[in-house]
Amino acid sequence: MAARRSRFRKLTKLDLAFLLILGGVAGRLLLLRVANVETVLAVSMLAGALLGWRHALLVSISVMGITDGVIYAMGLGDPFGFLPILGITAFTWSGMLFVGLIGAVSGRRRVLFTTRSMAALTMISIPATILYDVWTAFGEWMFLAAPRGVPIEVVYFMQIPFTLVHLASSIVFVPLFGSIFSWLSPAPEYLPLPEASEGEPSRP
Amino acid sequence: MFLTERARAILFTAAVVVIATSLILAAQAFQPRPPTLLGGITLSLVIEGPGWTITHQNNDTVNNTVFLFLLEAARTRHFTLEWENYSPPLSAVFIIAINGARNGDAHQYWQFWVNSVYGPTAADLAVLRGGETVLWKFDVSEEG
Repeated sequence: MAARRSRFRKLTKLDLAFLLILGGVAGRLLLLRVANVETVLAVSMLAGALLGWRHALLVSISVMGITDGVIYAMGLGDPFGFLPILGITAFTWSGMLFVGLIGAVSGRRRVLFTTRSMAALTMISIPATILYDVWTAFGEWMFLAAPRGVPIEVVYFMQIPFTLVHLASSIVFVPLFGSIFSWLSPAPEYLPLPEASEGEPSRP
Repeated sequence: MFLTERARAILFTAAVVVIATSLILAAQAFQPRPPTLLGGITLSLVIEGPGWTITHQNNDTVNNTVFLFLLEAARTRHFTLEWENYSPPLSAVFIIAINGARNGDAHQYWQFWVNSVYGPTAADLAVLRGGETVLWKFDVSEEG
């Protein structure tokens, strides 16, 4: 009997990358007024875990590029000035690239549509989120707070509630998107077993 | 203990919901909250707009955040105030316009200082204890 296969499981890596970019862009823009609840970290990490580091770079840069373009076109970055925005962009983009690479390293063992895989990805998203927040808060201090005389410890202290919400966002979106995309990702190909031949089994 | 995949998935989903809810509650508990005052405190306010200045002082106010005291000044001195609310879980208020001067006009934006210290939080999260002078300034970004 031929193995039953769903058409949806035949998406290519590029199809999945496109859908991840779509999920990241839509999530970030729709949740713009909800501080630190976002889908970019989840899609960057999943791109790395499911598709490898090259696609992680593609997805992270595409999502950040498109959404930052829209956000700044709306004038939301204006109060900070051009140079601080450029500096913060360097921190946020590199942070997301790093998250994608963490996903790629974690995805060396194949990510499957199983609870165990989703739990493992969710666990990895916790230090990834903390690292991202520590890195970007440093960028915010360097380009926004320090010129106004705000000490770094104040910035990190004020970052705590934002990081807690960001962690909640990651542990919801990583398994949610992870389940969808691991289900959509191409199923492993198995080579057919050779036909059993008649005769004595070979002896070593 | 052997669990079916379905049971594992249900347990995992329940754990995600509980942990995410706990994190959000912890984040909200971490937000600065102004204490409920039994008596009034003394606060001063200076608003430096484009070509105008508004001052306000109250020796017996219970409006003990930068936002509440600005709101009190707007009602007392009869000037307009516009603000924007950020959604929960981390709700915050950002001032958009004071007395007709709107953020972005001539690349200027409303920023505040408390006792000459730059306000790094949203106006409703900046708690005042009494004796402070709040300065709102319509200015270009310092690095702009």
